[in-house]
Amino acid sequence: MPLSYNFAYLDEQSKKMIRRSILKAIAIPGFQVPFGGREMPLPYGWGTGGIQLTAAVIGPDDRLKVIDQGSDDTVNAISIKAFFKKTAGIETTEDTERATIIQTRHRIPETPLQNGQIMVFQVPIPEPLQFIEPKKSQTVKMHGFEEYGSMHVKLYEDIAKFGRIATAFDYPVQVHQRYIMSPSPIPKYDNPKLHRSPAVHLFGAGREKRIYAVPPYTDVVSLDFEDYPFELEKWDGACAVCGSTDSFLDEIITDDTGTRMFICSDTEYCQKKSGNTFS
Amino acid sequence: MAPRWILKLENIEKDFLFHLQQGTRIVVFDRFSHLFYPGRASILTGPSGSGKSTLLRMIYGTYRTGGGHIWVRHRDRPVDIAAAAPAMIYTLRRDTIGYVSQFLRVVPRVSALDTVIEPLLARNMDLEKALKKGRALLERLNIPSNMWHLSATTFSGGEQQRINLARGFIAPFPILLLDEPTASLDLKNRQIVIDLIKEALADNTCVIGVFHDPADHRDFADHTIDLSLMLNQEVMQPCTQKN
Amino acid sequence: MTRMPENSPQPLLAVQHLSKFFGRQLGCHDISFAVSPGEVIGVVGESGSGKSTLLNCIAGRIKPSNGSVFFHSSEGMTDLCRCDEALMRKIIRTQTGYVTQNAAQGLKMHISAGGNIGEKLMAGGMRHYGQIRKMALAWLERVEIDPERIDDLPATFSGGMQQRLQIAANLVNAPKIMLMDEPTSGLDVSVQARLIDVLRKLVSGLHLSMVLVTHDLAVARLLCHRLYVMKQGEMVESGLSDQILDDPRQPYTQLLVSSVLKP
Repeated sequence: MPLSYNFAYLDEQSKKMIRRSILKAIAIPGFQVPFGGREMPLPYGWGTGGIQLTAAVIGPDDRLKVIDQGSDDTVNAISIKAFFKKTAGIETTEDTERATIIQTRHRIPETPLQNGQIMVFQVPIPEPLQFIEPKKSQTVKMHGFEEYGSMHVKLYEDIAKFGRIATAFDYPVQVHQRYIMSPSPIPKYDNPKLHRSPAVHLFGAGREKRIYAVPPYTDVVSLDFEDYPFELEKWDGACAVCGSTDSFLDEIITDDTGTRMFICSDTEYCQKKSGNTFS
Repeated sequence: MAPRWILKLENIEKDFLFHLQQGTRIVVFDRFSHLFYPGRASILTGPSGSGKSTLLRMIYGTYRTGGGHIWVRHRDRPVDIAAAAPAMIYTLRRDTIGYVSQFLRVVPRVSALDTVIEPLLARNMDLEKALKKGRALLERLNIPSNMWHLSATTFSGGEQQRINLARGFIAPFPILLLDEPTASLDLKNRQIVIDLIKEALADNTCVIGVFHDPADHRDFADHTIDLSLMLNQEVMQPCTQKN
Repeated sequence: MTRMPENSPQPLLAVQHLSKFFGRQLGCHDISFAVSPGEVIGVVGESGSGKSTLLNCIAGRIKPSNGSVFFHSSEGMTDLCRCDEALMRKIIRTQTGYVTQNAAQGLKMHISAGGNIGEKLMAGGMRHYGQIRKMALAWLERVEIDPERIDDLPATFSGGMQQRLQIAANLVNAPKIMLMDEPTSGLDVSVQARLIDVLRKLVSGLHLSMVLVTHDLAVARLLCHRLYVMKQGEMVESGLSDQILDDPRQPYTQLLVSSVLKP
């Protein structure tokens, strides 16, 4: 580990500041806590919020897993792992069960999380009310006074346009019967995994400088209508690699004639299911 | 026993101050008093500018009274229009004092029939019943039925005035103020209006009117009030021609 | 006006000694008036006379410098300028409507007509899409917009339609009072007539109170029971609409009335 970096890149005072915001976020589930976001050596939109959270909570004994689009080996995932290997000298892993901290952008792993694990989400747009009310001064008040009815306008527009709730990612949830929260761009398929999860879920938005959290065993309910209840997506097929029918599948077009196949979005889960082991 | 008045003017005063015309002040009434009785027709006379329309508008509450009292017996209780709260004036206009102005204030897009029945609906009359009454009255006033559902915007002056009269006569009022109701009507319709006024009088309505042509009120007038003599004393002249 | 306001001892809205200063600039000064249930009040005066400032203070959009805005709600008589902000927002949201001159400010232009009407229903806790849809369709019809246009964006509507949509979106949750800031300005005369007609029917049918800010005296006469005349932030004259328009007393009111063609 080069001596020119502090442990996990950030200086201790910055980490302390971020940890204080995290504690506040955990104390008020779903509430967006402002924090003094630092410049990180990667551009906004690449996970600057998540990387600061990871840097603030990681310790020498942690095993870090990073996934991007469900995959452990995309450029972004590998770069972030390399970053912490270099600056914190910690161990990295692809194994969900072995990981103590999992930083992610688009997915929650299929393998059920356990108590003691920390999920870190990279969030592009933390404000779920932005669609209905662009003024930040107003959204703050709407959260404060729990004026959430208009959140359903977005879902209404979906049904009016498509005949169903077409929002498939970043599907708004209510946390602990109080704050409406954007679960970041995870598919709505993953929303139920947040509900009463034994793990800690931390959300960081670098550009917007906001942190929010779902502590373990907290109610997380997806918004819906009585006559259009929340539904998970279904696929008419199984994973072409592992045969799974109970995971989130990506559709891949394999040739110019439109032949398609489905494979698991969670690469680690898929490999494990097909009997492969990890290095 | 002397009959009970229904309207009592007590030392009323009215002047107009025209700020935009060098502060010209015109005094129209200076401590004028008069009593009006149910079932009687009083005709206001006097040259133009003597305050005939002004008096009708003061009684209706449109012109504010400078001094004195305008007592109206409303649901058996005297109410001073000169000092009444707005809510009371709304009620008086709905239930007690009717007013037929010289011209219909046409509201675009509102049909002639709807214009006529509005006073009935204001008294919460059932719509069907109101429509029935409205149609009958329009028929009596010779408005062709194919015009009932049109807005009066495009009607002639005489037709508009008959809509206005229908609106004024559709609901019975204890006091009815008429400001030249027969102007711009032909002889046939003029007679119908005179009949309507007589029916109202028979119904014990107190009628106070201004008429352009004395021939129009000869039939029913109980007395005339010459407002040009007001500043002296004997303004009231009994009408002998009434049959 | 078809329906006359109730002879109610308790006003629905009572503004008392309301003043607003923008720094040293006067918005409105020492304004007091009350609105009974079902009563339509007009505030007239030229641009810059403080009409809109007054309306914004009532609507809780501007914090007045002094004075009170009492509202008779289910919680009793509440001073909106002094009560808990959550309660103030709740009263404003559930019991008042606000229609602006510029529909683009009052409507959400990126949300369909149906969504705009449904917003207040959803805000009020309605969670049944079918019901919301049904009410939105009914309201489009009431304000004379083709129900076929329910899924179209307001940006594709004409100015008059946008204004009527704004009215529907504000009335759908049955508020007690509508605050309207020059709703007819900027519309063609024929379009204005339709809007006024729609308003007239709604006001009398729903027994709604209204504070209408306008500089159009003909509109004021047609819709309002009573008028308040404002000049340079002060209330100079008030009375029944016909009293103000047919027997104006103050120099400014006489000027105002004599400046228009036969209101």
